[in-house]
Amino acid sequence: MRERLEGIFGRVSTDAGGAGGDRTENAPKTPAYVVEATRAEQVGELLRLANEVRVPVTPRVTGLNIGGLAIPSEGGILLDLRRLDKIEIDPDNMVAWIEPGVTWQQLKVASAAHGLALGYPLAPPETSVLACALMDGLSTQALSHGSFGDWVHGVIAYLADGTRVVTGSAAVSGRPLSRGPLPDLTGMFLNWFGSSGVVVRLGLMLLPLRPHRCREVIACADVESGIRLMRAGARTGLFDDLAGLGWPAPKWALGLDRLGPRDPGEPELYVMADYGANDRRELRHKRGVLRSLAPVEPIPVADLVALAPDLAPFAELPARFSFLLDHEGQGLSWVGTYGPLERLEEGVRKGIALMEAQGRPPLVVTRPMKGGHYAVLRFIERFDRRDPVETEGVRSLNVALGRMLLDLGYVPYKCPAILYEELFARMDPGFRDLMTRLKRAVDPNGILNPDRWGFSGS
Amino acid sequence: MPNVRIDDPPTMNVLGLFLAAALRRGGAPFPRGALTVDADGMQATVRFESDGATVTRAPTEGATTVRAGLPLLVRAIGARSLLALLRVRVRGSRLFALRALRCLYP
Repeated sequence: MRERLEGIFGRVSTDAGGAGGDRTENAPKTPAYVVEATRAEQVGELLRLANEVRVPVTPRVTGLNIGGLAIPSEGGILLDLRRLDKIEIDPDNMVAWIEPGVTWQQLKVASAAHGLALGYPLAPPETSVLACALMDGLSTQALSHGSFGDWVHGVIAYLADGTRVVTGSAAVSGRPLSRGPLPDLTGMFLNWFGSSGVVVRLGLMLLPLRPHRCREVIACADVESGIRLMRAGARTGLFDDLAGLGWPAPKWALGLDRLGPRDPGEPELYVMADYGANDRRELRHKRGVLRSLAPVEPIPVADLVALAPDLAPFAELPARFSFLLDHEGQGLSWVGTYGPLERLEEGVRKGIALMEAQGRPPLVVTRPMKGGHYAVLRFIERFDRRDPVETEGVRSLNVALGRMLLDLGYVPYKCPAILYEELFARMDPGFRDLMTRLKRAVDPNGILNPDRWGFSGS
Repeated sequence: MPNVRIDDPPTMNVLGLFLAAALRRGGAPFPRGALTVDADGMQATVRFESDGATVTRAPTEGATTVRAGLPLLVRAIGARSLLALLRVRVRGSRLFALRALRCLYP
């Protein structure tokens, strides 16, 4: 096996290092081999080999999905895709072909050179755009343009037998201009977490770079007033993003490590408003509308940063939020869901109660998505991975949060394995059956990231 | 960097953390005395001492108090808006309040 892998990749490692695990409460695993692709064709060759010998393959880029989704199968092959990092931009049609290793920072710079832009998640600048898009992540353009799955116009992927497949309009024209008008097979690779194929190129829509941008924060006294603002703001159609961030975030960012209870006079939810404009008049109009809706005066984030430079990552994304990634215990986990806007208050309150019952600072992230058709609701935990008791506490908290959110009609995104049981119990049986049948059709030997979606146990 | 301590950090509110961050960045020399900032019910006090400053939530007798919502305070200090500064209400010595606020300016 090793010799055949060397024949494809030149170098093969048996030491995954930290890539066998991630920052979550999920246990690390030990792959038998780690290989690094430098050409897309190597992915097809690898899958043909793995399919022949029936060894599982897990694709990975930076592994910061915080859902345990890139943890390899025990004894399998870990496929590192970081060195596939080409970008091709079609400026006239505002789309880009990107490879898995393309980072947010690289795409931001390359797009800006063509007068184009995109939204950014809370992820660090060095993480993968393609991985985030395939996992339906969200961004500072989520209110105006939805989750990143909606930005994907097609993919080039390899199936388990090494077959190369192109989806969307690119299947005919070679150009990723739209998902249709063909049957939408791009969906076969969205939210499958590499269990239906390995995507080596992704067609992503870009947006015009607005000459004027504004990022402001509204320090809302309570969750309810913040959600009212987000809901009303979504209905105006004027804002790119209205994201609610729980009170622990700025306190961690300002250097506190351990947080006690919230001061009752302290804001409970910070709503970050992000909007762009083509001229000053349009910007003034949007500023005025925001002020007419906000329960308190919005604060330009730039002014906050002038006062407290530690808040600089909030001013311009992509940025590294050290308070999430660089704390001593290194652990980071969450339960993230998409669901109904009208149940946000209830979901946030119940989630806060669950977190506080475990003595955890209740870091909530919520925002209306895609014009306000649905909302994201996410609870984030920082923890000490070296402490098995705390790690187990995070696991049980995530199950409780997931169960509560599913009961309210929220559906987990980047769904971690610990929530499969709760999810499948509520899932339409026909949908689950179709997923399994499709999986068998494209991966009959079950080699593609088989620990995802419970396929290894089905 | 000036010596700025936070009294009982886990319970410090975000206002006190802003004040500490601004003081640490260093601006004008510290005066002597205490300044309480009241931002819509959230309070923090800076006690200027011989070897630096302490930010606390504990009530401090004799402190000069400035009242301003967080947005007004950020505009007055972070954006250096004179108009906003004029809207900040002061109870106690205005001169001391001005000297103390100067220490927070970027």
